[in-house]
Amino acid sequence: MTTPPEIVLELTDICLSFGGLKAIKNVSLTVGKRELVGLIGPNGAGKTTLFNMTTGVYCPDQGTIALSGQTISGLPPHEINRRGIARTFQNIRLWGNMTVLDNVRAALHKTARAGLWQIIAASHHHARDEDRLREYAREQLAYFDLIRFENDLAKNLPYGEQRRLEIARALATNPTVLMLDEPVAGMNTGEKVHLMELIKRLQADRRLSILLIEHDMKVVMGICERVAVLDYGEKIAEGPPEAIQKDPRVIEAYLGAPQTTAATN
Amino acid sequence: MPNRLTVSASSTQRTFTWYALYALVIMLLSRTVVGWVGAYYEQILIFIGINITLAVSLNLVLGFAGQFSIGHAGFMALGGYSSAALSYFVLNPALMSLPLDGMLHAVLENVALAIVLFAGGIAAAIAGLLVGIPTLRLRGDYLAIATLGMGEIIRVVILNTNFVGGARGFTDIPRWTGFTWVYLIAGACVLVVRNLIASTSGRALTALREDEDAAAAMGINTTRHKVMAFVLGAFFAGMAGGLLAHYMQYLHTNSFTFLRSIEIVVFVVLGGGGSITGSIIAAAVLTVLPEALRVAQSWRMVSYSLLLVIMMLTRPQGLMGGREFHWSWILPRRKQA
Ligand SMILES: Nc1ncnc2c1ncn2[C@@H]1O[C@H](COP(=O)(O)OP(=O)(O)OP(=O)(O)O)[C@@H](O)[C@H]1O
Ligand SMILES: [Mg+2]
Repeated sequence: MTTPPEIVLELTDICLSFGGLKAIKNVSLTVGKRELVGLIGPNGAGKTTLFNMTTGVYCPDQGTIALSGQTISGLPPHEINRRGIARTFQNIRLWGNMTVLDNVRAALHKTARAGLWQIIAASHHHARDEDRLREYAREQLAYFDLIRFENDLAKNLPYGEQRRLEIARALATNPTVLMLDEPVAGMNTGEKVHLMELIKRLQADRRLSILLIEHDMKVVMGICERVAVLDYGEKIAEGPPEAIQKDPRVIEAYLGAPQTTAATN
Repeated sequence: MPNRLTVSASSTQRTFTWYALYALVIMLLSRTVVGWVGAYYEQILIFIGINITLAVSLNLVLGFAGQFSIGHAGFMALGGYSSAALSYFVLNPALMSLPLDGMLHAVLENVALAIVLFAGGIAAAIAGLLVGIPTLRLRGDYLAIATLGMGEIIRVVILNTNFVGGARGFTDIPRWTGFTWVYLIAGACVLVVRNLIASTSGRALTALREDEDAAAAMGINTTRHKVMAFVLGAFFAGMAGGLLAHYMQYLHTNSFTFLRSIEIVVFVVLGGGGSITGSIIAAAVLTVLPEALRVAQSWRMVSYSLLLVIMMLTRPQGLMGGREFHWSWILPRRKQA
């Protein structure tokens, strides 16, 4: 085997409760440099909650989260994004009444260099900065095959395009770690394959580390180098896809309880 | 690339050229038409200008940043009273004590007005900063109630401050302003808000209106942007208060109850949140309407309210529905080659 990649994102012994409900119990997880890690588990296992903690929506009750060796748990979401983590949401959360172009440009906000006074006086410095942002945003849209929608409102895009735009928007913040919460949910098989190929290509082109939540085991098995399984807030298994598929605890988590067998979406 | 640079480099000039041109037109109007129409119509025009400033500045907070603030009258009161205090107690006595001829006196009076208006704006902006930092963490209805309370607190404090007149009202404020200044400030307000929203900060504000959590997740410091919008809005509301003070020569806290705040909210909502031209049109129409409805006599305010209800029912997204007026709406489009 090759040597394991350098660790970029590291969750150590994380716990989180909502009132009496222990949503996350002592979970540890790492994502290596340019690694694509899958996070699977039945409904309500705590996958999204783990994302929310990593991106600063919740602060863990216990444990630490580190990005490239620096602790980020406890920082506000915008600061965590600036440090290099970007995400998408399970139920798409685009800025619906903004254009497709502006969704990406707004995400480029932190790279804007013009100050408030330059903006108000419409200085040429600001105008040049605007040109740069627009150009960059359009390149991003072209990469995601969204350029023909650039002036449409985000809410008017077809579903699959909305999913892609959300990824494009996250990438515009120039992350080192990209976290995707069920990016192919609600798509047909053809669309799923297409988007998974795009994600794989992205990872190579942009030297990204990706953590990806997915319900459908088949999808994850296809592209992930490593898979972690969450069930009732606990990590019950972790390893290469083939091993995970055969793991009796995973099979039980997915097939054991009758109500979770419909673990497709 | 060089082509683009030359285009961009002229944008500051373009901004100032437009504003200078606008100022020229305003001054010309004030020397001609405004004089001809008489005091009654001049007063209506001045109220329109003040209301435009209020509506556009609140639109930045409410329409673009999506923060439901209903304390705008409080900022207006603070700006009005502090600028009036400065002119009444300091600058006007100083101006009077100088043995000046007419021309120089007029010039200095305008300088003094600029100073007190700015001071009023700054006072309101500081209040906006102090109030905004704790309250802008609240969302929706909670923020509305907090800002409403804030506006009332400002009003009650002024009501109980004796040296600015208290319950008697602040009288004998020098009359330093008229049509020209009111519209110079309104134009500046429109210009600043327009440039801001067309910029990266404006997109950040709109993003946080559309989905605050997503905005934060994309690296936008939501609290900072909300406070910025709030402070800028308060600044222009304060200036509007100062203009009112130095036109009416009299201030009373009764003019700044939360009903006044609601009135400004109505301008924004009716014009269409997120549309500057919408705010301008709504502020103008709703200032004229109660006057025009004088023919309805005792049914005046009833018909005013009824018209509001009808407008909201037929066009809930507001007059402009978040879009801006563009010349291409009325001028024939140039044929494409
Ligand atoms: N803000 C919250 N307050 C209270 N309980 C919550 C909150 N967020 C999540 N939970 C609970 O935590 C548990 C984990 O939820 P989570 O959304 O993380 O699951 P998930 O693995 O993403 O599920 P799914 O596959 O359905 O998206 C669930 O029982 C959920 O009800
Ligand atoms: Mg989930």
